[in-house]
Amino acid sequence: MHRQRLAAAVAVAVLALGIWAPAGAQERTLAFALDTEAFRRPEAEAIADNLRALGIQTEVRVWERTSLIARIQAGERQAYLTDWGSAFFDPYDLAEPKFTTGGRGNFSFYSNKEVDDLLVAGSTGTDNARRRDAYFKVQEILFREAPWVFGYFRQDTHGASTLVENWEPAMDSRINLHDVRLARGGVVAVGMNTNAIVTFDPAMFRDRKTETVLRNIFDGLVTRTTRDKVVLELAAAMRQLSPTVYEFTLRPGVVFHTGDAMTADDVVFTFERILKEGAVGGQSSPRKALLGPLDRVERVGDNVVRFTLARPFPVFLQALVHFQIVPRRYIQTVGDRAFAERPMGTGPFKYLAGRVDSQIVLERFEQYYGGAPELPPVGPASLRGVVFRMMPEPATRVAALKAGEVHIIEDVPVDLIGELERDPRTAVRATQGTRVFGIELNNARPPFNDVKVRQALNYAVNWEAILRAVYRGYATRLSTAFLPSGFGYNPRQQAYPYDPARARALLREAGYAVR
Amino acid sequence: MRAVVLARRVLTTIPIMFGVAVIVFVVMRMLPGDPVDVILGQAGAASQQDLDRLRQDFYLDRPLGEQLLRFIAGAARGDLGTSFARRRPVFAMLVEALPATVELALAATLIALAVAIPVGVLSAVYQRSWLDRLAMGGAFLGISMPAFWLGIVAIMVFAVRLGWFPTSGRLSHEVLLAPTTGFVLVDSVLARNWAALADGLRHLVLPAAVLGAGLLAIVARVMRSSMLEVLREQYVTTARSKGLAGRLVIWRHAMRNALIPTVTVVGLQLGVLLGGNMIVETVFGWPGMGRLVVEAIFNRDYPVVQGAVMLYAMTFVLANLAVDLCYIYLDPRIAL
Amino acid sequence: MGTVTVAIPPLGARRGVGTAARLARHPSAVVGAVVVAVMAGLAVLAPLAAPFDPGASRLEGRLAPPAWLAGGAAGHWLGTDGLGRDIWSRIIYGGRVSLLVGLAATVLSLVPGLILGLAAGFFRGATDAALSRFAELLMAFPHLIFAIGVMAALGPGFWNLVMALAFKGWVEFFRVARGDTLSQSSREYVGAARALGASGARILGRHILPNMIHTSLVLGTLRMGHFIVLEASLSFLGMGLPPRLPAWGSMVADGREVMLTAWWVSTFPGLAIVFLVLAVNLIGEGLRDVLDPRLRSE
Repeated sequence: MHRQRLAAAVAVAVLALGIWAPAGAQERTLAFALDTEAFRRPEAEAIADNLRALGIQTEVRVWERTSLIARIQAGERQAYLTDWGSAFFDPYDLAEPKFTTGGRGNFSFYSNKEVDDLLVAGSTGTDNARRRDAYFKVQEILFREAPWVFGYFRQDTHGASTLVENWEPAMDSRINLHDVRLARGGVVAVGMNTNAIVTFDPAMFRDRKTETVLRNIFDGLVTRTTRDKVVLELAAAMRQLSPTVYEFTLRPGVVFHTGDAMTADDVVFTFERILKEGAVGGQSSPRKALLGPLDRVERVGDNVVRFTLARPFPVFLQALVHFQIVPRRYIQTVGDRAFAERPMGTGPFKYLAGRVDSQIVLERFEQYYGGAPELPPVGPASLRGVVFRMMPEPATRVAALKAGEVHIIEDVPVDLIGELERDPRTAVRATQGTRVFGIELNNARPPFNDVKVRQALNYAVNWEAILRAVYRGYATRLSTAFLPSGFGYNPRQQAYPYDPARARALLREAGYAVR
Repeated sequence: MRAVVLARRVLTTIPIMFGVAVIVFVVMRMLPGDPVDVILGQAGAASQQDLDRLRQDFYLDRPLGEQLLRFIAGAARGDLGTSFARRRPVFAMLVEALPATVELALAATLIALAVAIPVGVLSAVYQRSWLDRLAMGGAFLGISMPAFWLGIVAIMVFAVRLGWFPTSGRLSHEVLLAPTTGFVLVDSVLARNWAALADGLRHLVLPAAVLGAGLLAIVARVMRSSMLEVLREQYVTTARSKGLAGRLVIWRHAMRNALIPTVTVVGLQLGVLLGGNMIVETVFGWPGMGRLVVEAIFNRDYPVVQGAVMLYAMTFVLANLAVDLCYIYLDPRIAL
Repeated sequence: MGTVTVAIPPLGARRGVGTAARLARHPSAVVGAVVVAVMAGLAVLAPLAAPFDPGASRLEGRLAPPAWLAGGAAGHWLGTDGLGRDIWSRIIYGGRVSLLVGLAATVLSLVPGLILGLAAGFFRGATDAALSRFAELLMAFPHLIFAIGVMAALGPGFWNLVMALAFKGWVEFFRVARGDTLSQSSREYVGAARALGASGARILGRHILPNMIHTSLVLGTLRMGHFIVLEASLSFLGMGLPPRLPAWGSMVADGREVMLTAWWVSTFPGLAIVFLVLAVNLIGEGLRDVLDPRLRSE
């Protein structure tokens, strides 16, 4: 009896020791925690494997996103797998927030006066050649100083039924259903990768999923091709009067789903709602910062609107793509809250029923003016209606596509791509993503305040193998944190090669033991 | 006498609700992370001016004490504040999401009880028979396999391979049903829309079965265990010796007593079902409370989490009252 | 009922000795104990028992099917996971973590829950009211939501996880123990023991506890599985254990994205949980049979 109890106690003790067994401590071993969110855990573990092979003690920790970012911003963490999206196809919303000294998005605490100046020159300059030069220089410096372990960007992989015609995923993650035709039936259902979109009010969100839905209900002055080119949509013409003044002439004959004609007043109202404090039913829009230095919007004529900026803003048109025109009279009559419950735009589809967290049913707007002339077909949508279904679980989205319940699904995990490719009724559509993935290092604290250590890590990770295996090739290595799809990318800038010998040498120089 | 006891019991809910309000308020603010950062898309993308504007909108610029008072005073009036992310009244959001969750939880409970009670009783009566072993073995699969595993397998088999049920959602988009109560089954009956009723039922089966699997297993085990116990009690033996028919003894006398622990467990588990089913809701794209709350925790949407937890607290208090009342009914020897 | 003879459960020190002996003769308890012992043994001897290093990824061999299936990789009896690691080896090592998570969380829930439940049910009055209200307060927070909150606040880590699981876990034991104690205290034999002059502690320890502990044990065996599964749920939400500690729950969660194509990644660790829970339950069943005085008098 006593012996049994003793045996049990010993068993528990051994189990416990097994967990906390020290991994063999050494003098001056480089050791750190590699933080990640759950969705990049396999990648993080593969990276840690690479580093351990050099004798670097790497412990992967999996965090909830918001907690992790809070701790990163507090400077408490050392190295973290992070990602950052760019909506403007420009370093303005990518390199600038990530590398400007003291910036809130600068999780690596990187600080270089020269880079700061170059980034400002890049985002405020009016001469594109000089902007480009500035960004090339930034890439050179970043490569040398290696504030991150530079990573990769991905292909966004979506799934579609073979019944869906004329659909191509867009790099800015818009799902343009106006152009889509369906071989059988007139209603396309889209499986969205989210719990819920945020709102139906184009002034009150900052996430891409909400925009994906809203851009089928609302149109903007300009829109974008499936790549990065900005084309006119509700605007018939655009003139840039000076580096800081833009004038738009509105397309005639555009009507809202309410039946009211769209005028310059609606455009002015749309932007004032965002610029002015408390202008959305007493609350402020979270979208103001996206408009950069936009100072005021004025009506010049019945169908002419003038935008005045406080300083030159080269990405202004890219920014405007993300602002949808809302009906002034309707909102002022029913109120902002009622508008968000029953949205009315000028887009190809009008809201019929549904909730932000389940399914949203839209029907064709018969009086649609036709859409951007540069993006044929032009005219009312071919589809009778569209449905957006919130399906946060990837396996469920894939199952629903296979079962024919939905026709387009967002974000197919790479390991399920084969499943869709094997099925003759479904196909995978990929497009270049606009998110940079990498490992940010805390440059303000040891051990990563030493540039040699940072460079060593860049040489130590076998990205090619990891990307090929974990992301099945649906990811492309980046030399720094600039995207090839963005302005100012230097295609000649080479990425750090996988070179364990150089990594070892650099670590030794920095005074660390290596294996 | 019972009325007094009941009234006292009801009054005790006030300090509980107050305690819950304070705890959830404090816990949410202890979580690292800035709600305003989350709303602005990605932490760090915003200007200081934007941050300040939103903080002001949400009263986050006020002292914590004032925020707490504002929350409690509001909650007492039934005003749970406005969601940071969706900018809608939390109360309206909960009222929308609650019926989906309750409908699913009730369906799951019904499925679980309908199967588990007879199985539990039979397993006890025919203890150690093949039926007993099979039923209890099956119960372990229900308890031990995580819901998302069961859910994905169910979708693969019954929705994709066999095509008997839809993969996810509450209603097909072809079926338009204006929400009045928010319960699809009730609304479709009210609207005499039988197609919607059938469609709603078809959508309900898989998630309810998966959600009910755990409860089924637990109830069957508890039912069997307490039934075994009751069958050995003196009064059952007595009743049997008095010549009452075996079946009557089992179903009338023994089962009634064996139900006591079962009621406790179901009462507790119903609460778990109402609160903890976000995984089933995620897998089956079910627009309920669980998903809403977990998303709100991740987004640091304090008012939504606070409001939802207050609602759960209320449900619990009421469920506990009901359980206590069931005790009195089932076993008169227990005084409250 | 008045004429029924009241059976006073036998008291005495013989119980402790007898329990183990009787348990050893109980068939299902023996089966359960053997399974748990094998699992614990594998876990303890993992470095010897596992054919592969559980942490060694081999990216070119990822998601290989079990060896006995078409296209299976030789040597990997249960296939490989998303990083090409041997699932069987990870299950063996994962047993260390999962057994400890389940055990620690169950013990940390059962012991306080049982003691407080006994106290509340026996003393009633203010003790009961205070404890019951506190329990209700905690019950008001759904378990998963509560665990998410705790994990988000504390960050990843083994003991943080156990804390997150047990902090509320005791309430259920409390509720059941309290209900049983209430029910037992009103039985004739307790009255009889009181009439014979037994002290409160003696009645609690010798009469009430033995008559109700089996419910807690049965519940405990159920909860142990629940805790292990809950770890899986937290992993599903991205808040499980650090990857250095492979746990069955997180392994099941890891495989969820590839369930449609590589079912083995999450199914086998899931089955490991099923077997563990089954075995623990068999022990629980045996314990109940052995501890239940009425059964013994048969």
